Amino acid sequence: MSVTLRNAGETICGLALAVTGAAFAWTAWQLPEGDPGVPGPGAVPFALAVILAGFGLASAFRAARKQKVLSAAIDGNALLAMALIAAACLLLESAGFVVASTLFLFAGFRWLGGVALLPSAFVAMLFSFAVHVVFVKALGVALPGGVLSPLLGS
Amino acid sequence: MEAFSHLLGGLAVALTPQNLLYCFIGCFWGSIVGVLPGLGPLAGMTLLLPLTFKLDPAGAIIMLSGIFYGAMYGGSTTSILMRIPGEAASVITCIDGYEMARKGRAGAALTIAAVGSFVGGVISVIGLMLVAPRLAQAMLAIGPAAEFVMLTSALLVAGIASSSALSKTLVMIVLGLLLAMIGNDPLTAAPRFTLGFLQLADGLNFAALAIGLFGISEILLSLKLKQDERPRAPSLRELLPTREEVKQASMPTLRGSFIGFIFGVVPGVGHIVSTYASYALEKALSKRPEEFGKGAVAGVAGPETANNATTGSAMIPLLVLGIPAIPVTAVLLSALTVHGVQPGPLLVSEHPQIFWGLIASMLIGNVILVILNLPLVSLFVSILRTPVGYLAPLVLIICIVGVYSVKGSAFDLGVMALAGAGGYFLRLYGYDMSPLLLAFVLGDRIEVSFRRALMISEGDPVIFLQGPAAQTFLFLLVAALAIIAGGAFWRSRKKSAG
Repeated sequence: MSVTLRNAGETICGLALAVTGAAFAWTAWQLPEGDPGVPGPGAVPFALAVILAGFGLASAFRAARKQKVLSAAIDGNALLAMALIAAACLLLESAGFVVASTLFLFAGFRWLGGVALLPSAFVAMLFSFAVHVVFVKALGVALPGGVLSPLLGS
Repeated sequence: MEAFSHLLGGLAVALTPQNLLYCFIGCFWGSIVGVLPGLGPLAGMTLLLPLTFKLDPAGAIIMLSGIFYGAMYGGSTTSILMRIPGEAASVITCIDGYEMARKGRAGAALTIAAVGSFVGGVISVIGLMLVAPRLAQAMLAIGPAAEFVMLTSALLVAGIASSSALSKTLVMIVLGLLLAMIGNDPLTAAPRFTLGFLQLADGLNFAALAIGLFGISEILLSLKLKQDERPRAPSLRELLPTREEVKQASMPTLRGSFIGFIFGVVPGVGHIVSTYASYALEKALSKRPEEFGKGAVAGVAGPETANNATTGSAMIPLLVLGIPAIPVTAVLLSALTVHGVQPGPLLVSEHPQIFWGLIASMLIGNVILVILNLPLVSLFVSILRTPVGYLAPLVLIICIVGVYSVKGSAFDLGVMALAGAGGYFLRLYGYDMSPLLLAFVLGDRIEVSFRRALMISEGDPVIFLQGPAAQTFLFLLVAALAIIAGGAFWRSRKKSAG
């Protein structure tokens, strides 16, 4: 049995689902399961979690054994975008929307789109301010002002 | 005839310049939030909800419902052009709509979706006007056992309609059901899987999960698209469907109207399941089912019509019984309550201007949307000409704003980011996210109906096979599975013979 790198990814995916199922099952096990006449809050989730763990293991086993390689490879740009999203989400409330959005867009344009330095900075700032004005001033949505609160009047 | 005289009264309300303007604003804003990847009717309505507090009740509900069906129209645009559903009901349109776009038939797909949405919307409103109260009562009279059978059947239909392997679809259904169980238990209020986070007491935020699973993961997957994989913008002539495409779309449009109307009445299920049911039906009835998933016209026309046909009937539980069937009608309920209007059986007699004004405005709104959206099709198509590297950061930031604007919660942003990463990896390895989302939406009700039915029967599972309603749903499920299995068998025999 030979496991290629790509099938390894699919196998890991199946194993991750099995682990997720096991974690749900373990937590559901701690809840009251009730009896057949009055099923408790843990009964249905426990049954489902066991099914998920079983299906996950079966998927991992099948992926490890199959000869046909699924044409899928993790893209470096996708990982970079995930990191940028996480950073923007973490920065949003402390730095404020305009700063977090400008930094996110600037990095995104530069690294994901290969856009030149000045246009990236200009469009990132312009778009962030425009979104802030539309959502906060026109629509009344409370986006965090953060470090620019005194300037933005929010 | 009485209904039509009431409708005339409603038109008098809806056609006032003020309410016409609110209807237009709602439809326009709805189209925009539907078109913008990551946003949807729920976020769009929530954003404008504070503004409606300054309007009169009729104007408020006319504008908010305009956003609802406007987003249904607009949602198809991103589904077809970018494979990003504007909202959950447009998920199924991604499959064949996007494939049509990749074949250079984006314009035709958008036109078919717009016309189908118009037909479905109008038929649905007529149905709402004529038969709604009785139908709603019949559907709401079903017991928990029949409800469980019905919802489980809906999930099985989703499994059949899914583009991924059956085993992977089942995994996603189970995962979706488990995610739906995060939060306080609906029957005992015991916290489940909350990990000590208060933010999870009410469960995972639907918008955060949906935008993560579909919007974020789609953008992440699209980052490796080559330039030549993006379809070109069609010419004006190409926006018109061919005679063959019109022929292929006509019956699915009619069938989708009725499926959408019927499913829209069922609380909670309506707009999402109707699209799956329509897709599964069209696939089962098609002479060329192998084209489904590769750009079948019926795969766009049926679900898009069905999804808009639910907009009228989804109002029935809200207006007639005061029960919000889906999250967007919950926003409508909150808007009316703020104005001191309580939806329910007395709404029609106590506030006829609201009930009939809304119905009339929905008819007018559907006309506005066709006029508004068809000329803008070329503009929507041109979105694809923007390189993904430029567009992706802009769409991602709109997703972040969309999720944050619903509850102002940074925690929901974390849910969105995790769902986006999870969705990316799962989709990379052939797992379809649609069954997961459907299971998530239905999970709460499936569990509650299952447990209530067992309580009634004192643990006897035979209750799920008893009663005319449960037996009818079981019969329909078996019949649907038999038709699909029979069709597959017949096609395989024909293929091996020929």
